[in-house]
Amino acid sequence: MTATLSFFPVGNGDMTLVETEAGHKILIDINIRAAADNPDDDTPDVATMLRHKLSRDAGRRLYVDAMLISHPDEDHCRGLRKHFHLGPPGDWAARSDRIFIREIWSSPMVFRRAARNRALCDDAKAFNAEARRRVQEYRASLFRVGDGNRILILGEDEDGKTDDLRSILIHTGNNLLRINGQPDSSMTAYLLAPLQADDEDDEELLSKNNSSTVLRFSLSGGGVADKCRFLTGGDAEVAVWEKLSRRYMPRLLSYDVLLTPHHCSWHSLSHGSWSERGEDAKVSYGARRALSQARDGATIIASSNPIRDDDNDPPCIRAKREYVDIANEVVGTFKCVGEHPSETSPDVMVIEVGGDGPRLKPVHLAPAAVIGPGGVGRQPLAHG
Amino acid sequence: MGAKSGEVLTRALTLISNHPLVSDVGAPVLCHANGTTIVDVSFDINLPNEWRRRGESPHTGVRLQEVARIFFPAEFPFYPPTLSLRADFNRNLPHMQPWLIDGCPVPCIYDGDPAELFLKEGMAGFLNRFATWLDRAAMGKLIDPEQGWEPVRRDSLNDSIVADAQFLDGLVKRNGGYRFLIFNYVRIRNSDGTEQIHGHVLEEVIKLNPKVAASFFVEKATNGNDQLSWGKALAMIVWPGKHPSGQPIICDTYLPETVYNVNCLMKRSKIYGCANELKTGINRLNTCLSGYNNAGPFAMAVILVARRPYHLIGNNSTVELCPYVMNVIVPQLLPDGGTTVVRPAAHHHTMSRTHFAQISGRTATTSPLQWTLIGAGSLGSKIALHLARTGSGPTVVVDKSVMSPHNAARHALVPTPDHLQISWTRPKAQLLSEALRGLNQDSTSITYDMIDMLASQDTAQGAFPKQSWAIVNTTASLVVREALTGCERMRSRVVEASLFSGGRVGVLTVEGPVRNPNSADLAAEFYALAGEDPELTAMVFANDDSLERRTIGQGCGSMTMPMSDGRLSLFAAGMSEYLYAKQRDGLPNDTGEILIGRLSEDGLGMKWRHCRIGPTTVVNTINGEPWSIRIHKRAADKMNQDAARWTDVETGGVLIGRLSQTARVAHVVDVLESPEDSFRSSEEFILGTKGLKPQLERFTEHQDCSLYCLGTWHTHLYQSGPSAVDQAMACAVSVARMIPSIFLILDPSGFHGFVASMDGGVEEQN
Repeated sequence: MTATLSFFPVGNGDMTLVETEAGHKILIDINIRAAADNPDDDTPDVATMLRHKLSRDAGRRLYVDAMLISHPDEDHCRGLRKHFHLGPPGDWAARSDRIFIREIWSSPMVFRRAARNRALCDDAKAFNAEARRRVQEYRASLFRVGDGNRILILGEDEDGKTDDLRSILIHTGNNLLRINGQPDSSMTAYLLAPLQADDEDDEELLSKNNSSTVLRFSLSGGGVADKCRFLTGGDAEVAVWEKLSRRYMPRLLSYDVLLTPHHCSWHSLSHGSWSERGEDAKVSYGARRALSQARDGATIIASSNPIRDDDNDPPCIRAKREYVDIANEVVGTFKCVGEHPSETSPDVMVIEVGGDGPRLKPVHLAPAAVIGPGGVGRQPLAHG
Repeated sequence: MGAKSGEVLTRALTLISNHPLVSDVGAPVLCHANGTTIVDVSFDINLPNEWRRRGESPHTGVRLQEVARIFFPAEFPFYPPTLSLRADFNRNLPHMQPWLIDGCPVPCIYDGDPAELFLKEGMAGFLNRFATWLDRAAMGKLIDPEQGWEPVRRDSLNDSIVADAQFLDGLVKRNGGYRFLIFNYVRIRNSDGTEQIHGHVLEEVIKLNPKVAASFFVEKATNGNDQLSWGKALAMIVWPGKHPSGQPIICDTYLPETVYNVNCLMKRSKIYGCANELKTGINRLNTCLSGYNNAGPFAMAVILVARRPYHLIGNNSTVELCPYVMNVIVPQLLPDGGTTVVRPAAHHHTMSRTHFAQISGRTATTSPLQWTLIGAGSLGSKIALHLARTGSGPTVVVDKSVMSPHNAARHALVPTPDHLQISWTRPKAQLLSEALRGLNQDSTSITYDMIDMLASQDTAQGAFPKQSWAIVNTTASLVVREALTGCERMRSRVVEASLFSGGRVGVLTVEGPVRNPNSADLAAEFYALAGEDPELTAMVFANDDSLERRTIGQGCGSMTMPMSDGRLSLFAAGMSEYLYAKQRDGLPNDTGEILIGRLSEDGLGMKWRHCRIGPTTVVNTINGEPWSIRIHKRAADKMNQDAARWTDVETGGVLIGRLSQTARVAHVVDVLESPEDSFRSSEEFILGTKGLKPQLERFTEHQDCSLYCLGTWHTHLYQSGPSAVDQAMACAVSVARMIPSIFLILDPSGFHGFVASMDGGVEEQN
């Protein structure tokens, strides 16, 4: 099958589905707002959009092979309890028909840093609890667990709590090669962050900079390996990217598709405030270096509301300009999910990965537009 | 342009500018000469990242942004808009129209009438299809290998040839070559000096030699019409061979049709890999024609074959036929040498079983399905033609009757206006066979009387070939049914189609495996089924005799069932669909079947009830007497259940069914419960009489004597033949009844039968 990246229109939030050529589906973050579940509201019904892209297993459960919450902010995990099954697999009920998560990818370090500065939302707490349940299950079952109980721990924690989890622990700076316990030769995912802090000040800085799980996927297309590199980093802000720039070779940060961190926020590119300093705010050399390793023709995507030329941040027009410059350097493109295909009726933005690399899947006029004021509708053709 | 159409155009332009892939819409320009409004529209093409720096598709040259010109005719929206691409857009792509607009290529975005597309999907659909076309063109995916290779578009060409593609495909061998075939054509000269050639390539390969070559070229003007000529000439098919490696020469380059003279044709043949074969063929024809007197021009067809890398759309073959026509003369052949005009021609399939099957959405069998139609009347003719139009018409048509003018009211065939309609009054079987031949399906017509025919082994074998799929009897004749049922050497299963009640009820009966149940069993079973439904009973058994004698001339009349052609066609169509499905899937493999169709109250539709009918139990004659008793499953089950209920005493009841005097068969369809005053003991069963008479009378009255009392049955507790009491009782009954009476005894070994006839004789069977 064709590998795809699907970016759901969730406003200022993230919700990305990675489908590998081998058929595995990895969901990164969700932001399913209450309005999106209201049929009378115009907010895109992203839960239904997601469900249409998933398959059912032999037990008639809609499932994702793996799910990652990049960091525990509400705009990255909203709707988890309502739409996803949490708890033992045997408790899944057809009547509620929640999406079944075969494997969870979780970073305790990211959660711990987030909890340092603010209270976690209920969905974040629920994800954390589910991750702990799975770790316990893993320990209790002598490391042999099945679908719905699997978990990968991303990044070793500093207090030694992850030391006994070697077979499910992915060290930062290493590749994820298996999805839900299965090897997937059509994908690798390089774990760039969370990075361990150098000292307590560094820990404080990383915590304040929205420490997130940062992954660089390499996907096969048309049967050819590494046809699409996808860099995704949650809400990681400028200090994180500066640290990544220092830590990694540019090739490890290179991408064909970039999901701009923090919904096209200026705070990922600069220590200065856009609303306060405006054009005087300087771009961080290190952060820009980390986020500008675009390969030829790269697509840079902002998962945000439509971007206006105003003081708002995120999304920030100044950040957009910087990303457009980065894209132009490689004859690439910048796209905003909230404007795709139009601001009035945003839809899922799909990148298809073929033998010639990734490309934005074309979108046509939606049926709603067809019966709009400019159209003449449709009617069936008969035989006479 | 009026205000109304201007408003529509404005809306269309708004829609265009709102299309997600449209980046710019130019200012509309009105062409005053014809009222067309022209708009240039820029479309963004989502090329893969790897191609963006190049700015175009490395495969097809489609750019990151393509400007298309949209033409809105003055009559828009009644006439749809048309499109053209930039002048240097790559034309070597499939789904490209053969013509240009102002020198610009035109994409084919819809395989059908664009006006219909526009009314079906509106401006949005039009734009979406074009955007999809551009996207596929960019990705080099206008041809989908799984869907197949799209042949070069030829459907708008003025000249055409009709040829059996399968036959021509069969001529193409691994080694390159050419063949000559007969080409019959008509030449139409238009008043503007142009002309059209429409020809038919016959499935007949010609061995060309100098002695006869010129005789293949004839053209004559039609009497009284100098603009129309009929001619005969040759068609030459030319195909490519193989590479030195042994691999067949395949052309995977898509080219629009641009040939206009012999030089172009030669170039095109080189691309297809058959240039040498074309030259050799033309030289051979030239040689054969040399020495003849000047004659011509004649229309000649040349069919170049291109082997494609995968099968053509809707076809299993990789052979694409590229036909052309040109005017040739004798003896020089090409009047202007290399500049002799050549015109690309459209190809149309010949009428063939395969083609009809394809159009009908089914796959043709490799050889014609053998089946016989008995009855070429209104119902039979419609069924025959419906099935022939799916590629499976009857191979034998049997009907002794002659067509009469009144038959034209409902018959599928239509009389011609000439010959004072006398030619219409010929045997129906012959006329129907001729019509089937017109559909390129051979059939044998037999005009013998059915009884005479079945009496002769030779004619019967001709009418009912051993490999017949089925015999379809549409005569609605009781005589024919009896004859077919009684013909034991005929192995094929009989399907019987008939209409009742002025076309309000239609019935199909299908014999079971090894003809059990047979048509007579099924007819009796239909009477029983109809009797279970009061509404159907009223329609089928109403004693109003829906068959009437209708005047068809002074002093002449015909028995017929008045109904409209439309109503009859409703049933014929449904019956044909059933037969069509059974031809594909096979007749029921374990039972017979009865289908009862009823016209809806508004006369617009119908509902069919399907009944599976199990085999009948045949009680053979012990003493060799000719009566046989066929016990239907319904009756057998009831008798067995009653016997199982009364295990210690004898039991019995009344047999219901019908007799065939000609075949000497008794059909035991049902049994009535024994009257309450019946006496049961271990030695005897005495049938009571209480309430029996009115029960039998009701039965007879409601079902118009189609089913009636046949006799009685009773059980014996032990295996034994008829007792003296049984025989005495049978003798007594036979004297009292005008028709033979049936007596069945059920003992542990099975059924035993007696037939008591008027002469007082008693015959035992088991």
